[in-house]
Parts: sequence; C-alpha cells; structure tokens
Amino acid sequence: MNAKLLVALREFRQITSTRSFWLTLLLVPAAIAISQLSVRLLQPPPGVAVVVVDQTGRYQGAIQQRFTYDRDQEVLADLGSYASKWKVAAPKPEKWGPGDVWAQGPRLFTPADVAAFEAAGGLKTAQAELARAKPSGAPDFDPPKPGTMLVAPPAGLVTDKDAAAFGASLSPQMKRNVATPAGPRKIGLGVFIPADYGAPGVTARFYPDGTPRPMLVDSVRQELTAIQRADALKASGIDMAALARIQGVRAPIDIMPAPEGGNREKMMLHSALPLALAYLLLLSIMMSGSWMLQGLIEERSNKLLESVLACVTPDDLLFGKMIGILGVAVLMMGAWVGVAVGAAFSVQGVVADFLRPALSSLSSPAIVIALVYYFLAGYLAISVLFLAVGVVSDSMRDAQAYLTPLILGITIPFVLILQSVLLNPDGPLPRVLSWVPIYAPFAMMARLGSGVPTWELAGSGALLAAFIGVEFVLISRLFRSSLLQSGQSGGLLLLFRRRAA
Amino acid sequence: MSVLRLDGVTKRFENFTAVDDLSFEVPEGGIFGFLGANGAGKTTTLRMALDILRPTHGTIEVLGAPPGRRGDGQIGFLPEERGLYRQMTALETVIYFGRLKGMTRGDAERAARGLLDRFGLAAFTDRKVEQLSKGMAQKVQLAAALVTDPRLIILDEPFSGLDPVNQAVLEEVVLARAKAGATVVFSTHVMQHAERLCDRLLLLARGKKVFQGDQEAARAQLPTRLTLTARDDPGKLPGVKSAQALGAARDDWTDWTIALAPGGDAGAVLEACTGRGFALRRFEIHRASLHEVFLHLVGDAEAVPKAEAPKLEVGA
Repeated sequence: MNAKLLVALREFRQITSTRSFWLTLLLVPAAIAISQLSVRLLQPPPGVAVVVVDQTGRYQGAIQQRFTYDRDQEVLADLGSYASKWKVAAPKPEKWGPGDVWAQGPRLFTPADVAAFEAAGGLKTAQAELARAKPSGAPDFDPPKPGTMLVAPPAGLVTDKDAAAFGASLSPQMKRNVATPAGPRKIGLGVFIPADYGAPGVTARFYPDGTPRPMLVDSVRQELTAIQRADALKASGIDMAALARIQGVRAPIDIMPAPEGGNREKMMLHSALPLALAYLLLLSIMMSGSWMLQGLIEERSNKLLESVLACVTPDDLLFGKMIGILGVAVLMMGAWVGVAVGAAFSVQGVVADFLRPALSSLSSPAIVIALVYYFLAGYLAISVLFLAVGVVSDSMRDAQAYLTPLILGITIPFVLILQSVLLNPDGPLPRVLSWVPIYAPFAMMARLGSGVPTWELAGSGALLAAFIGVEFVLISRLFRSSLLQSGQSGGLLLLFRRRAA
Repeated sequence: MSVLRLDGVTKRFENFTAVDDLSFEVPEGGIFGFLGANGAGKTTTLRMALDILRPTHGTIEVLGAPPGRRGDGQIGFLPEERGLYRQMTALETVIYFGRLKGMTRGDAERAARGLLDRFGLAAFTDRKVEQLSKGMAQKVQLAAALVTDPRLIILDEPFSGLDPVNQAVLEEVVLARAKAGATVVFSTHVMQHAERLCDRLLLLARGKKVFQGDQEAARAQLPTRLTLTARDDPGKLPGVKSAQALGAARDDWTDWTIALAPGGDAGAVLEACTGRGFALRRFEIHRASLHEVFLHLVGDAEAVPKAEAPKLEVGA
C-alpha cells in the first residue's frame, strides 16, 4: 500500500479510536433525539372544554360560532402550509372549488374565506379534495387537534340557580375529564350568564381552572360585548337592519400567495440543510483539527517522528495526515447526513416535517456538487492551519497561544456570516466573505440554499483551490524544516530561514 | 563495494557547522562504529544518510544510490530519540513500520512476530505501547528497525537507556545480523561497546573526521607502554622513547615504565633484551584502549571555547 495511504489509515484509526470522536459523532443523532423529545415535551397542552350556562339563551350560539371560526382559521392555516409544502395546488389551480381557499398556500384568511370554506363542507370536503389531488409520497393531511371545545354541562352541574351554586358545582367537575368529540378533556373555563344579564350591574361570571388563558377569555368576552353593543344601539333607536349591513361591511381586499422565491419560510427551509452543513463543517473542523494537532504534538513530543521520517518523506507524512483527516471528515458527515436522512423518513413529527423538505435542497446535482466541494475544500483549507500550529508547537500549552486567535478568527466571522445570511443571503458581508478563501466555504454553503450565481461559485471555488495549493506548498516547507526541531523557539520566520539554509 | 559513501559533505544550520567536509566509505559487511562526543555531528550525518536532512554541500551514496526512501526495506534505522505511537500494540507497531518500508501485511506480521518472540516479547504482542516498560518499548522499536531484514542497519546510540541485560541482547542481535551479512553502522560515545563490536571505526570531533580505520590502527595512534622490572636503565634499548623508574630499587631490581617510539614494537625490545643479556624479571605490554585513543584524538578537539559552542542542538 502507498505510504501516504498507510499514514492516512493510521491517522484515521488513531482519531476514530478516541472517545471524543464517537461523542462528536453522536452529536447529530443526539440533537435529533433531543429535538423530538423537546417537541413532545414542549407541546402545548391539549385544548380544553368550555362549559357555558346561558340562562338568557342569547349568547351561547355566538360563542359556539366564534369557537368554530377560530378552529376553521387554524385548519385553513395548516391546509395552506400543507398545500404549499407538498405542491398540492400545482399545476391547475383553476380546478379547485370556491371553498378550497387554502389550495394556493398559506396566507391570511378572511372571514369570507372561512365562510366559503364552511359553506363548501369544511375540513371533510378539504380532505376529500386532498385525497384526489395530493402527489404520491405526500402524507395524509393531519388536521390540528381541536383547541377549545364547547361542551354541554356535565351531569351534576347546577345550571338553574345562581352563579354561586354554579361555581360550587363546577369546582369538582374541573378535577376530572369530560367527554368531547375529540376525546376526554378537562374543563378549562366555566361561564355563567345569569338570566338578567344585560341589566345594569349584572355580570357574567367566569370560572377559570387556574391556567391563564387570556385569549379564550377575551374571545368569549368579545362575543358577549358584541351582543350587548347591538342591544345598546337598538335601544338608541338605530335601525337594526341598517346596523347589520354596516357591521357586515368589510374593506374588499384579496390576499395573494407570496411570489416564488419571496416566501421567507420556504427560503429558510431550502437553506436549512446548507446552513446546517456549514455549521457542521465548523464543528467538525474544530474537533478534527484539534485531534490532528494532538496527534502531531504527540508524535513530536514522543520523538517518534525520526523513525517515521526514515520510512516516508515529510510530504508523504503531511499528505497522509491530510488524507486521514479528510477520511474522518467524510465519515462524520456521512454519518450525520445519513442519520438526518434516516430520521427524516423514519420518524414522525416536527423534526421529520422540517427535515424532509429541507432535504429537497439536495435535489439539484449542482448544489450537491457545490456543497461537497466547499465542505471538503473548507476542511482542507482550515485543517492545514491547525496542522501548522501543530508543526510549530512542542506541547498543547504552546499550541494554545496559536489556537485561541485561530479559533476566534474562524468562529467570529462564521457567526456574522450566519446572521447575515439569515437576514439577507445576498447581503454585502456574505458576498464579500465568499471571496475570502478561509471563509468562502462557510459563506458559500450558507448562501447555496437561496441561490448563488454560477460565475460567483466558479470564481470563489477556483480561488479557494488556488489558496489550498499555496497553503500546501507553505505547510510542506514548514513541515520539513520544523519536524525534528523540538524545544527550540524562534517562530515561523526562523523555521523558514532554516528551511532555506 | 561500499554501502555508504560520503564525499565532502558539509551541513550548516545558520552559522553553525554541524558536519564539516566529511568524506568516508563504509564497506559492505561488518560493524562500523561511528564515534564522537555529544554534538560531534554523528546524528546529523546519519540523518543525511537517511535523507531526513539534506547536506549543504557534498554528495552521499547509500547502497549505490543517492539517499532517499527506497521503499524496499533495505535500510533499517533506530534513532537516538526513541518513541512509538502509544495507542498502538507492539505487534501493530512493528507491522506498521514494516509496511511503510514496502512489506505486505502478511510478511510484516510474520517477521514482527518472529522478532518480538526473539526479544522476549511474545506475551506482549497485543499490549499497547503505553502499557510496556521503557526497555520493552525500546525492543519494539528495534524490532521495527529490523523487521525488513535490512542490508544496512543504522543504529544511532542504540545502547543508551538500556539496562545491561538488554544491552547484551542488543549486542547479540547486532553481531548476529553482521554475521548474517548485513552491514551495521552504529554511533556511540561509549567506547566499550565499540571495542567489543566494531571492525572499523570513524571518529568525529566538531563535525570533522579525526580518524578512520580498524581497532589496531586506532590503538597505534597512541604509543604502546611496557612495564619492566630490570637491574639496568632500559632507556637506551632500541625503539624506546622514554623510560621512567617507578620507585626505588629493591635488591637491585627496579620497576620501569617505558614508552615506545611511534611504530615501536614491544617484541623488538624483548629481542634486544635477550640479545644483550639485559636482565629482566618482568616484561608487560600495555596497549592503548579505545577509550584512551578517543580521549587522545577527540579530547583536544572538543575542548573548544564556550563562545564557539553551538547554540542549537539542531540535528547534531
């Protein structure tokens, strides 16, 4: 076997036999597992049941309508996202019915939209439409769990007396579940509307379960207010028919779907994988650069380099190390991407919903080639810097003096690139740093999801390749001139002068 | 045929000359001692022979070709500064170096097991280097140098750090390899090892050659001394440079120490005594030891003013 490959294999084995390597390798699976777990742990509590005792008989209907409207808004929002994600609407949106307001993707839905949706049959009709139109491979639409549900007063609840009796009988009911169409739920709010509600000084009594739900309270209150306001207007002599017409007036607007490429959510989803790869590049470089550095310092401090150099040239040793570390990088990335792809198609929930569309950025061969190129080139370009630190250091303590500025010099611009790309992928900072070889891999990988002109990719890639070539020439000289010098200070210039001598 | 030839080789590190216009040849077979004090340029010369360092001037030939990693395992090298990959096992270490020198894994493993067995490490083949004692690790490194059964074995201060038992093992290995036809070049500043092992010697002082030849020629660098017990003054015998009485006479007999003239032969002095009826009760020949020769040849050259001493130990 070629000497370089033997050195590479040894380097690879040495690194992959360390505990820190395996811990690092487990980072991505652990992150996915934690995400899954946290999604479950952080899930909002299931909706609650609301019991309304309306002794006037005038308010309950309005409250029910409000709950139905809010639920329809939630369903429409999810249907819009689903239609957009799985391209359900394309290619013939004209075939959709008037109630399929969700088919053009996510947007603000007006009361008219909700009314049309309801008139067309609501969720049941939408699901039937989707069964006909969804592309193969798309999962079934999973409607959001119903939030707040109005339920009939459970047995034992006092409804025909005063608020105090209602409250007293509600308290034990709140400690157990009641049956609802969506399964057993806790009663989150009880509302008692006395028969003389509307008379001066008479109040509706709200009995919360202890969990603050200001939006729910506000929704119910808005409906009560609307009816009482109408009563007041009527009492003032205003023509109720005219009032109904006036209240029904809505400024006519059409909310159109966002233009192609202008959808920030979509853009972010498309950029997620390249951004994640840029981050993983940074992480893996920091880890493997440090492993390589430790290995080189061990070789120098253990005084075994002379034995090795009697068998292989310094260049063989250098390139072997680089091949070995590149192998480690490929293994790490392969494992991470493999785990991500596996998770995308084997787990359910938010993580998979995020990963699956994010992987769509790999559908273009050009992007895949660019990602692989910038990843490997970035790895080489920065690993050489770590190697240089190892070459001029006799111990890890020596190396720290160089490592701190090196790590800061890489991570600070990286963070700036990431922030800039999230705000504006074509902003000046990412574009400028795309032409600085050390930062080009991060900047380009971060920008790839949002589209980079071909000339810029080619130019920046060529510059990076040339930079790596120069790096190798310099590190090769430094390597040869410094390998057998230990315990001698003097810095880089002295080493280069010795090389020249 | 020479296995190693240096012609006018000089190596400078900035303002310090580690090796100065050095020329010599090592013929094939036997054990060649490369002697000199610390910092004399031995290691630098060996590193140049192995292409780890390049000479500033001059040419070097190793096994008939310029120095370089031939990849055929014909050269085995044990450096002065020893170290191994601590996480590798003893067996894997020897196999790794064998493969770096062009062996197949199977051949390397067979040879490695044989050597480790011979060095008494058969039970430790799967032990990590960091778990071995220093002496064991040194034997592993020696096995790594010999795994290819090389034609030319270069050992840089091979005995340093070894206990007497392991020194004896190493001496035995060196002799066995030489007997089997390999050429062994080893550097040392311990003259006893050179005296026991070397057929030929080269002495370096401050980067320059001060002597090359066999042990006889080396000893001839210093006059042979005789100790006599005689009635008369032996100073007038032919071939005697000087004679000094050791104490007063007892019963007319006096002890003398005699220095022969350069090239003087002790046998000729004895013959002269017999021919002239020169009465003797004792006639002892004291030949110069290599240690004395070394001190004589190298001692003066190494006594350099401190200001001229090298500041760097670069490859020296």
